[in-house]
Amino acid sequence: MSVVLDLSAFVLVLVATVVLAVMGVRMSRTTSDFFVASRSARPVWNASAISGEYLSAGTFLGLAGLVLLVGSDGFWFPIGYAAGYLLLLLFVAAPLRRSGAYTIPDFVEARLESRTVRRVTSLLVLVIGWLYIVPQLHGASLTLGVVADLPPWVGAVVVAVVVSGIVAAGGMRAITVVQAMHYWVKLSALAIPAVLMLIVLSGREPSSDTVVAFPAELGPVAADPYSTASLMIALLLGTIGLPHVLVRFYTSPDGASARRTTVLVVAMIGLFYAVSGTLGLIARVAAPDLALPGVADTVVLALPARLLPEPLGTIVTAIVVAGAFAAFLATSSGLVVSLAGVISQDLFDGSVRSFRLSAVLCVVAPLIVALLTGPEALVSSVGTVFLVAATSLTPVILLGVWWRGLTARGALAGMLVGALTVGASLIASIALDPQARAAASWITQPAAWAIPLVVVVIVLVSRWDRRRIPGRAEWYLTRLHLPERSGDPG
Amino acid sequence: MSHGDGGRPARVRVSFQSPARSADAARASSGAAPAVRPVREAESVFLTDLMRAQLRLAGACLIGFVLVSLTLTVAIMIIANTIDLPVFGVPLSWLLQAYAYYPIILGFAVVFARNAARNERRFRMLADADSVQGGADG
Repeated sequence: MSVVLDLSAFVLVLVATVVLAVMGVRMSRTTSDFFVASRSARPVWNASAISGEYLSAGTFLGLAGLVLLVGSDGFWFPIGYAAGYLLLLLFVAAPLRRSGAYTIPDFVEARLESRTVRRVTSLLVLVIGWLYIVPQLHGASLTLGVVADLPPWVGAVVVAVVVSGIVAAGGMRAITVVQAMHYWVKLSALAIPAVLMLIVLSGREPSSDTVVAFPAELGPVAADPYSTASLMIALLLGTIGLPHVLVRFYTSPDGASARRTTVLVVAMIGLFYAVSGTLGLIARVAAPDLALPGVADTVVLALPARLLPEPLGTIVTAIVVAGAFAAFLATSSGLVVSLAGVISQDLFDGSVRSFRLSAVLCVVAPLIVALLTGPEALVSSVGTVFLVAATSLTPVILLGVWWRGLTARGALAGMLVGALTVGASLIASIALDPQARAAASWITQPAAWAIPLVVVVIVLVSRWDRRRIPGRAEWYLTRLHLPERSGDPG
Repeated sequence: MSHGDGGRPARVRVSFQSPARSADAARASSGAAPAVRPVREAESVFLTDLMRAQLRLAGACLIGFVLVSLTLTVAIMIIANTIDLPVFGVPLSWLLQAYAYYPIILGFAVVFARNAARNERRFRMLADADSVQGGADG
């Protein structure tokens, strides 16, 4: 690996990001520009940005690492992430676009006419966002550590500074441009190495080591069906509750185009996961020695140098490094935009200046956490974020969009029960020793029973509280589901 | 909050956006909302049907997706336990697990988006046809 080349790839991504962001700044003037790019993003453009934002370090580095570490079970994560977008499309994409709100707390407040529910929602959004930024910063530390042997804090600090700078300076318009670019950078950064390495591998003698590289016991054997099913439920439903995913739908011009955008996103992230999974399969053949916890996540960075002849290996490694940084920057900046939107409206006056201040605040907290904790497996820490979102926020959003009878108290009770359940489960799974953890998958993967529980709580409390059904619920649901007059511009 | 400024193709947005915006502004005076963004009678009658149709469609797509995925999962298990032929040096079951779910997800996404748009067009036609005698609307 060439340190100079890798670092210049990183700097190149950084410069391109900043230049595009600055170009965006010149276009972003009003408050509304800052928050949601004035809702004028075109479907392909917007879909690239959504995908760019969604594909985090967790999948860029983590998926191949996980497949190397645990075998074909690792593929369940990207399948769940992609299917999460299908659920988003089916149940909330068009209605939420029509809601006219900027953030999840905006939506919840407008729907339920309650400041208290808004505050609780904001708090949950903030926690989920912070939990999500931490693995991005860990990924940055990991990458810079492997590439340039820098101390772990450098990568995290660099990404944190760049992200808060871009977001504070440009708002979301800039971010849309930047993230659309990041999707294509990330896809190429995995596709180019994947194709080149497959060409090299196809020249080799195959088949003889199939059993060694792909042992049947690590293949699709359904070791723990409950655990897999519960994980899938969390990943499928979690996407709806992620703070940075929903805000993107407000940038589509109307409900129908929000749906078209989502279909494009499903195609784009599916393509990316397929390529990323290919690297996982290559890793099992070419780098079995890296199958160690904590090391496996670096395998994508190590593969090109092992398989490709010089100087190709060095160049391709630099490309991968560029993609990895695009991944950290894109996801973190998307999260910071939506978190800063929430904080600036809830804590401050919602002005552009308070948005800038909030953007900085939103990065500092997860940075401190990232510096205090060590990098865990990237994919599964992202999975935890989905679990929290799926149990606490998703049921309220789904019922808010589709059920007239939802009340503020019902939503509040559901969010509290969801947050407490998932919190208890996380603490319990940390406390359990590894052997007990494997036996108690209903504790470590609570989604399958916790989400239905939350829905039941919301429905029961709302029923009991039915005199307090918001007066404008009917009007608001009409707004969510009434097709725009502009129709379907094809 | 003017969304129609500049040379961008803003016509599409303005037609719906501006009334919705002013409805937001009028939020304080509760109950005044229907007067601000008039939902015509015909619309509100058919809207309940539209909501049901969209929810049914979404539910059907979800159930379809779950069933097809389960079938694929079972098929992969069976292959893994029987004739797991290596393709390009990788067992078939691993390849299916790695790639086969994404086309299914995309397929259901396309089916849903098309039918949801069709439901909305039908709603527009019904609502407009029903309110022809109602005269011009905003």
